[in-house]
Amino acid sequence: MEPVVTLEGAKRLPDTSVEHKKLAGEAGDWPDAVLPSDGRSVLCTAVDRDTILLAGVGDAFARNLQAVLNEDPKVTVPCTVVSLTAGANRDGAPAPFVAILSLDSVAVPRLERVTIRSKGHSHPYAIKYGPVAFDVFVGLVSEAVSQKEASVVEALIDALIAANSEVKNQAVAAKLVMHVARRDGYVEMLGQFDEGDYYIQGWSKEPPLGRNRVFVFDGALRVADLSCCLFERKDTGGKAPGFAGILDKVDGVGASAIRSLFFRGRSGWNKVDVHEKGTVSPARALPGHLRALLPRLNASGGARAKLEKASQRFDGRESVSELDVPVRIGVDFCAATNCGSVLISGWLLNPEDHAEAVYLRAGERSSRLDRAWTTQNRPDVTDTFEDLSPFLGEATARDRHGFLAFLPDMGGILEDKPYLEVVLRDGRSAYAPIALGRTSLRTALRRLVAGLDPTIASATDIIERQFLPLLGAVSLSEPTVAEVTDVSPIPDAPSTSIVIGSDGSIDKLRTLLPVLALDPYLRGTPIVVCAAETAIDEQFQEIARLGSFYGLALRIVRADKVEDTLDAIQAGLQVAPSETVVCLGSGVVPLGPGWLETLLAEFRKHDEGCVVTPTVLYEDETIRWAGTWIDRDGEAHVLKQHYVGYPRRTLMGAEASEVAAAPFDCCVVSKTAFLAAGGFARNYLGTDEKGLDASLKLRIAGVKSYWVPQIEMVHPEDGQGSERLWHKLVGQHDRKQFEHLWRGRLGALKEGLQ
Amino acid sequence: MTGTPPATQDAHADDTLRVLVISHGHPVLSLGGAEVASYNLHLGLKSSPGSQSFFLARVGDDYPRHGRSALMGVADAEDELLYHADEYDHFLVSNRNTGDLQSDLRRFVRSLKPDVVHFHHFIGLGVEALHVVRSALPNATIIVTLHEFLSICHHHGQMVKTGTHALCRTASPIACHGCFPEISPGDFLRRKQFIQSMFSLADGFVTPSRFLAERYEQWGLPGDRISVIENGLNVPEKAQPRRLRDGNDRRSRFAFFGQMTPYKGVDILLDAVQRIPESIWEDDASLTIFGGNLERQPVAFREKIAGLIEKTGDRVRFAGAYQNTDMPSLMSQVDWVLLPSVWWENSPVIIQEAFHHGRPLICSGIGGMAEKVKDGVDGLHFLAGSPEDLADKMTEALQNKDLWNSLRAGIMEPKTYRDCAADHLKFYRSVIGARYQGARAIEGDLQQSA
Repeated sequence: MEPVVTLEGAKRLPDTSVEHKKLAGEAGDWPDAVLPSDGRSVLCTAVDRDTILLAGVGDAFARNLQAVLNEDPKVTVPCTVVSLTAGANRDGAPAPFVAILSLDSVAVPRLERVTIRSKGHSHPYAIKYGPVAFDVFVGLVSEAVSQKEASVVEALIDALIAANSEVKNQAVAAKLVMHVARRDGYVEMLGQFDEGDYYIQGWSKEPPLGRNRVFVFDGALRVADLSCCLFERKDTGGKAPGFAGILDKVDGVGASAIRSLFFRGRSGWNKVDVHEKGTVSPARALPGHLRALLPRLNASGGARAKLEKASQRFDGRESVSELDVPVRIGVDFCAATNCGSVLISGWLLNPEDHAEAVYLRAGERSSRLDRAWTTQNRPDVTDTFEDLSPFLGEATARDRHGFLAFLPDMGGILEDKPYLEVVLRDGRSAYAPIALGRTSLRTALRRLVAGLDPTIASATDIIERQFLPLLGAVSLSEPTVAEVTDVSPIPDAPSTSIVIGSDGSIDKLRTLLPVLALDPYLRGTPIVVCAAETAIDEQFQEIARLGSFYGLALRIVRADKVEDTLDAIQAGLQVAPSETVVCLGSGVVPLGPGWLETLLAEFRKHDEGCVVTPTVLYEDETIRWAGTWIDRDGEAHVLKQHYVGYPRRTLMGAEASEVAAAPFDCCVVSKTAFLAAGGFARNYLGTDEKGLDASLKLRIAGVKSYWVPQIEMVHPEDGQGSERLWHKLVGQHDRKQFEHLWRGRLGALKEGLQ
Repeated sequence: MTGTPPATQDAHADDTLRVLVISHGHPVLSLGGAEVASYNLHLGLKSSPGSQSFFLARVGDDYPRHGRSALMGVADAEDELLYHADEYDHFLVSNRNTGDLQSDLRRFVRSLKPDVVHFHHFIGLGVEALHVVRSALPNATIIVTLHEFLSICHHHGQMVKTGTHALCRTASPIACHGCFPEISPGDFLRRKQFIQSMFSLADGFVTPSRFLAERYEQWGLPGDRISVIENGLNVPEKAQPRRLRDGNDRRSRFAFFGQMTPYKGVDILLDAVQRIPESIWEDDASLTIFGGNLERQPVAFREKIAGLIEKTGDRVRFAGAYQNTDMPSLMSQVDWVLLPSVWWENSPVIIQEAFHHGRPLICSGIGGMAEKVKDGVDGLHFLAGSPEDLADKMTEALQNKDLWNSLRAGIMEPKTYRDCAADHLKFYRSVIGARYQGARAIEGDLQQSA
């Protein structure tokens, strides 16, 4: 390893240190002052407004006591006492001490007396001199105890920063350290690991070997532990060894904010500044740097072990596949959702149980994956790595390598590059970086499910048990209108308008808008196209082109919190220019012109206070929806659709009739009635039950549903074959959700129907 | 013409019909059968009394365009223009450059004020062109000639299954998804509804074969608006029968004219040739392949052809690509024309050309071929895709000395481009009459026809 800077090239930093700062307090001139030895009076100095030091003689006090100021029991403050060894000519005399009083916010206009309480006794002292200057105070104390000034201060600091000492004491210690520390060397390189701790490297004549409590200065002094090793460096001419250490995390302090470290060397407190040419390395560069340096580090027990461990941290490379034990990991899908969670699926090959834990990490965020995941069979993984372990070739080999996990509370994970850490039982770690996309929770789940083997996923029932309840628990906000743009004039107060809820597919709009435009019965009818913001951002120009080319009265709506076509319809309805609205999912295909007139006639027949829906077919001309009725199923009432899947000719001769509920793929509805009934529920994954749910809410509000069989629209089962499992799961989930919400209420609704 | 059109500002004082023929290509630039047919219609209309014609042909990305206008000129032709169309969506047969359509095509048709706008094809141009014409000229009559099954079938309009090249008899969203698994059934349904919506703007349709008309009627076009009009030939010369050396000489020269694509069945033909026994083939028989583009075909097909060529040896000669003007000369070298297509075909011009030159055909007994060539009258049918059956038919042709003469005698003279134009004019007038005879259901500037 080459040093970043050499001593010869080093320049001193601008004097930003605090060592020359005057201690606070008004120090008086007391030329005759000595350390009082009468046991009734003390010498005093003020470190700052809140901290004063007293020195005198007395009992061998315990370290942490209470002191009463000016004999007022109400004014009691913490008192840390450091007993000192008396000088040579003071045998048998009471021991000198220094007491550190933290006044905090106690108002003491003029301190005259201090009473130290120890072991049930009060030890009153009068302030004899003071306050004297800090240097004078230390000089007088060291003179009385025949110790160097530095050792007196160090004894104070030691007492203040001892384990479990209060933060206030540490702050006082910091002030003392800044006062006495000498500059010794520089920090030439530092960086902060994802875990928050720091790598520090530099040189010093008296470097802090092993584990030390040090002060970190970033404008203020903070206490932290530094585990440090030394290494020889020639560029200092043998005068100063190099040091490399791991500094524990200091909350809120980034590596680049650190300006100095204070540590105790052989001859007292030293200070190393970060060199002006010092390098702040990114976290990923530190492990490699450390690995290169390790052979040069002296053996120093725990500190070296800590550095060795740090050298094995994630450096951006995939290292699981390099392991000498049969442990491998792969991620099939991983997405951060817009509600702060992460959805991940993959596999961990661990036939010999070498892996102990798996973490998903990103920056300082971390989540233990193996405690959150649900496993599933992945025989393909067994087959792929059959040669890696004898256990994998056995007929009874375990195939349960797959995992699926939903990790909540991982918000902000995309700000850092995420990766997996596999912790082995021997203490080593290996890593696998992962690519993480960002999407809505529903979309993430949809994509995850699309990548699963349907046979495996259904067998384990994993999605339904693990993720659908999670989805149900997630609170989703109502869709809202973000922006409304009329690409062409919308007529004033039109009698009817069409609201198209887009699923984000521009290809569907490329066909639906022309088909509507060329239906002569729809000429002049305003069309509102509403979609999620991201879709509109990408497609606005294309939708506007279609509107312009076909001469449509077109309004484009950017909506927020849109998960599906019905959400988009709900947002679009809010800005529909008419009271009577035709709701149309962008996936719906009219089979010919003139369909709206018949629907509107039925709508008007019921005083425009209803939902009117045509027959909805699949693309193979079988029935997708042709009426919904409430039927008795044993003791309970259920919603039934008698004709689903039947050929369209089954409906020959059917006439318009009232139905219990209607979908919103295509329907005519009153805008006010719909919005007043509360719109669509947020806890469905698909649109079928979601639409029926909304129409039942409308029914409760007095808005009935009517089916017009002679009008047929096609709503194809869109989506790739890979989404078959998703559709199945959505159906299962939504039916359960619907049943849960409505089963107990359908009986009463049936009465209303009759 | 059964009705009398009302006097409008677009109608002309006399009874002359002004026709704009719009083609997907100009034969000067792209010598396909449909391009030639559309241009011949233009020429025929020009030369017919009672009609005027203007020809607008689409050019594509490989043709340099002007910056400010999609309209471009054709050298030495005052009644011909080119239209540069790009941003073509093959799946929807759609042109996304609607800005050019709105500005240039619309402007042009409003200036020309044709009574009839006849789309002889719309591939490359996009079906949106119908909307532009309809909105620009609400009273004009729009006619569309359908050349193959492009509107029905995404597989190059061939109605042949991808992969197996099996014949497809009925398109449906799910069947089409079977050919293109990456495209959902719903998207195929949307494609159909989109194209049919555009077709609803047309007043009449022309197909060169009954077979094609029936398929489109089955697909959803109104049958009473479809007229079957065969394309007309514009070939003045006729090839004489190949002169035989003596009474023992046989009508043993076979020929294939066309592109060497998998759909044209040249592999079936080569396979059949190598199956015919040497004792029947003898030294005098030969198959000459006039055509090229083998190098543009898929590797597997090229390899298959290479293997078959090796087997056929010197029985087969490759003459390469040819010009239409060479046809009389080429025909004079051969006796039989073979048409072994494995797709349905519509009305391939080679049938008319063969008949024009008095050559009987041996063709697949399906679709437009079966309709145009009468088995045992002016040609022979074989089982489509069957090299064995084709070998049998070729054997029959080689062994039956009277067959050629009897089939030649059964050949009817094909229509000329003038006959064709006359038929079109008759159709135009009948459609115009029908438009104004019945009351329009829809008022306004956007009129609904089909």
